Amino acid sequence: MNTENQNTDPELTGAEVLLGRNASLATVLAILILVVASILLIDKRTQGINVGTQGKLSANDHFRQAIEAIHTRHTPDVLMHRNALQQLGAPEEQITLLTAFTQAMADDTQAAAESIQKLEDSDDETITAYIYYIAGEMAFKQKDYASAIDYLQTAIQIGENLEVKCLPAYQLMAALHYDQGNMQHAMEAAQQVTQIAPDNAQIYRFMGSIQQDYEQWEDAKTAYLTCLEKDPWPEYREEVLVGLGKISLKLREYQEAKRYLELVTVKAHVLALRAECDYNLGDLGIALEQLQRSLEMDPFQRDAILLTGTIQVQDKQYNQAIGTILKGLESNPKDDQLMYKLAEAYRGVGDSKNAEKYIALSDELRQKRERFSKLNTDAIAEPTNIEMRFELGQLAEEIDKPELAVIWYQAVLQLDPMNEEAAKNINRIILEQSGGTVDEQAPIQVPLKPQTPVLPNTTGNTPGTAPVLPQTTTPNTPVLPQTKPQN
Amino acid sequence: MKSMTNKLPTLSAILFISTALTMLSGCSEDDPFEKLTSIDNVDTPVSKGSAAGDLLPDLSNEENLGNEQVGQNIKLEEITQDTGIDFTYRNGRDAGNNSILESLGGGVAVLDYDLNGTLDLFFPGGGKYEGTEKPKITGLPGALYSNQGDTQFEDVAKLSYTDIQSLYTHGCQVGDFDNDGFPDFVLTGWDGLLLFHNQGDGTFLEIHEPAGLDNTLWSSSGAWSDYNGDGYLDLYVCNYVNWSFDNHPYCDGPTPSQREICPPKEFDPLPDNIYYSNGDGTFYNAREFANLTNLGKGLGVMSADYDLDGDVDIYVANDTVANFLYVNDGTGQFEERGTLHSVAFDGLGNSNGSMGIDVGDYNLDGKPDIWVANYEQEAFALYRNDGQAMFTYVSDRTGVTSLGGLFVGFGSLYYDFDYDGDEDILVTNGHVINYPRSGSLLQLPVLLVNEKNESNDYRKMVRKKFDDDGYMANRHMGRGLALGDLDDDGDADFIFSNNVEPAAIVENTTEQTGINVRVKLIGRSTNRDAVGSILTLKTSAGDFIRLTRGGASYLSQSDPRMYWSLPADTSIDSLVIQWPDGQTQEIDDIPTDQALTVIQATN
Repeated sequence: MNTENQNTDPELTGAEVLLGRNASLATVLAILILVVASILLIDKRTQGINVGTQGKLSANDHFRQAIEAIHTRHTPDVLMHRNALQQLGAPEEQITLLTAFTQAMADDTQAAAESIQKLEDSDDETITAYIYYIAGEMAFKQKDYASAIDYLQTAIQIGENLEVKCLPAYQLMAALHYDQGNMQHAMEAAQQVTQIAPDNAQIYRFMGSIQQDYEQWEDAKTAYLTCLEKDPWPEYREEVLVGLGKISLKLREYQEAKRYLELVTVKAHVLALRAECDYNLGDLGIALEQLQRSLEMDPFQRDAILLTGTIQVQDKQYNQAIGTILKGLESNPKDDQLMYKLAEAYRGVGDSKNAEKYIALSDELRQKRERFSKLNTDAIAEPTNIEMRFELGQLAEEIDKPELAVIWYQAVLQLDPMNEEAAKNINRIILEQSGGTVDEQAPIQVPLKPQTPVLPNTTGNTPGTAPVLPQTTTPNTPVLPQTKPQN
Repeated sequence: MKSMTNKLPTLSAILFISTALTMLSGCSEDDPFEKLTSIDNVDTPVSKGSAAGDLLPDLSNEENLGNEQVGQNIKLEEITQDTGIDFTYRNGRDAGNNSILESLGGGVAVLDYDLNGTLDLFFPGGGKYEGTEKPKITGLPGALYSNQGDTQFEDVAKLSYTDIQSLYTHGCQVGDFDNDGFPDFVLTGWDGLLLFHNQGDGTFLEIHEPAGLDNTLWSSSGAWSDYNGDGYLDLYVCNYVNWSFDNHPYCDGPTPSQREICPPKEFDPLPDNIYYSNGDGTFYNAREFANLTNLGKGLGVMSADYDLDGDVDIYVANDTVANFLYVNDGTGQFEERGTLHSVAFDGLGNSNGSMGIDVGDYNLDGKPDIWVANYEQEAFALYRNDGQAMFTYVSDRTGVTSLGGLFVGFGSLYYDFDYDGDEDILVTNGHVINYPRSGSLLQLPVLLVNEKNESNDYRKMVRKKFDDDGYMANRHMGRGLALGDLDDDGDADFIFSNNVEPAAIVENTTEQTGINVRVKLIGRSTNRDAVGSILTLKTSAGDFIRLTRGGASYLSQSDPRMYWSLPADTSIDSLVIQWPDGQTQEIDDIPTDQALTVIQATN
């Protein structure tokens, strides 16, 4: 049994995969507070850093290493080098740039914008490229994707002549395109990252994630394996191994899937996947044992419930199967595969009324899922099709993927910023996800672009049509959750 | 047959470049068919063991070629070169049109057209294109191989007037539609049908127009059966998709410059047709009367009495959309219940790219189980019949899914190869697109040996490993598959019809350690071919059923005789025949040294 279209972590946004965010809204907020606190703490600690150990490094070395730290988004290192540069009396604009980065990472938008403004007259191409990148980062966080793309394109263009390319601009561009549903652009940006930083394991994880979402199993597998080849022990190793396990299951390489899954920590969903391997390999007893353990850990583990129900139907234990699957539907009320199996169980006990009911429900949801899957792919070839993206948003809601719905509605807003329906749907989903109630009369919040243009320094390679840098007043933009609940 | 055209051409190209160092891709700039002559070139192994150094398990990508321990007594030997058969189905691919038309291939039919007691073979010829701007699609002549005895064949297509080239052909289905005792046959193909009436003198007359077979759509398979119980064979015709050169999109291969054959999802389904006999050698289209309201992309069809209620039902294998189960109400009117009876989809409710089908009783419970060969990464489907044609998907439970996802399956047959009484399954495989990412273009045939388990319901289908250098151990562009005792030695031999690759005759050389039973039925008050009958062989080892059926496999027609292979110590009590009109007849004296012909008793 495969778990068709129950993708690995389809809920992960590109930014989460690439930039390492993976939490609920509450978690994100909690982490944000901690990050701000830790940055402040680190900032204080490193104010007085004894640069003795770094004493052999010149200011240029510190700045170069700070840029490398930006590439890996390692804020503490950026701070450390910034403080060292301060002690060494390095050029103020270098220090300001690094400060702007740390402020942006801490979501201190106002301060970051002020720092950036201080650099608008810089004629240093590195400084200019990176302030556009940071501006892109800020716009991205505010969901102002159009501005983010403009800023990042400018950063990339300016950075083309630099010895060290502005890697994070490419990375963020890839993540941005991913979250916009522009997978081909995301892959192109990711590919550029692999050329600039061939040892960057994270980008292969990102590529694998996209390919997995688009059911390009062989490519996804290659990307994940390359990821682990570049970095065998990343913090996300288990996630990649589970991904490899799921892909191998899709490819019906059960022995291989089992081996990947044996390398990861035992959790409920891992046990369910292992059970699927054992079951298809003919080890029914082991499979049942794994399923039992999985459901002990998480009584609502969807894959374990589905496989348990499947086995019960095959064993003609229809009443047990009905009980099992109904429990699964409690937490997955729009799961067409569970409904299909439930219909079989009802049919087995002669309850044709319920069998037909769940067949019809399953069929309807399956058609929506297949339609979603088709449009998901078609959207690649039609990057400006607003209607298609809106339908994807609607379908995602109907198949119980609100997180994906938000992404597709965001994609609508990217193309049509004044689309009230999309904005309204986003707000409604956010409220529903946070447990709130929907106020139909509430004003619709449509993402706005910065309204107070600040002219950038357009010297050097900066294109004449370079985008304006962020204003110092934060736009009234809804901040959307970036993460989705796990299955 | 579902092909997965890459939807991200540029992305794919990028990936190809990026992964060139880590995987040995089979996607080259060259014409893939140029490499088909070398088996070594068609694999696309993926390097897996090197990733992450020693931190990942050693995962060599050697294909699981099966189990050496099962079916050790089974011997299959190709004898094509010794038979005088030299036939290759042609699809016109050399014109470079890369059309989906080329992917279907052709089948093969087993029939005794001259009633001389030996089995003859008909191979549809396929077709070609004429012109370049908007090519005209024309047919190539098929071959009628007359069995001269001692498995020596002679092509008599010309002499028999069966070498007509007006239709680009795919399938051949045999049925004595006028009940005159001589087998007739229909050829399916692009935008039409041909009906060859056997004149009884070694010649045929093509009569589809006067007979009223007006199907002008792209037909793939057909199934002869008496659906309305009037004593004459009717014809179900599967139609595929609405491809033509007016609807011939460009589909990208690994790079945009490499044209790929478009997948069926690019096209709309066509309605199937069902022709009911007027009893005078002509037919009328009874599609509406029969309630064939659904649209599929039919590739395989098989008619049999799945619910054992005395009338003939229809199972249709559709490509990428739900399969159909038309349940007959006894009058020739049907209700489509594929989804409700759990044979429309796989075990999770997903539609598959279905091609080859057959019906047998793998678990010996007396109820016919359906087998479906599907597209790659979709497991072949084994549907257990739980009674009243209510099915349960058991591919995972029976080990079928452990075959992996590399096969694109076509012709399929149930047959007991190892004399243990239960039916095994033979499948011929081959890819349909130019640049497959997963499986190879040429693929191994698969023999799944039915192995007993602690419970009959959970028998295991274990792939037999063929370690010789014979046909079964080599890769082919498999499509059609049929069986028949060509050498009249008691066991079935196998005929493989491949796509742009010579057809193969594979003799069953398994030592005959058990009992062979072959039974031919001749109906009198029913259709003469007795399609729709249920045969139960009652023995000391239990009851073994067989169903006479229309269609089945893929574009092919097997010997209409029923075959049993039983352990040597089995004593046969009787053969009970339930004829299509409900009459039951029991035969006590069953010969094992020759084929038995049973003529329906008069009331």
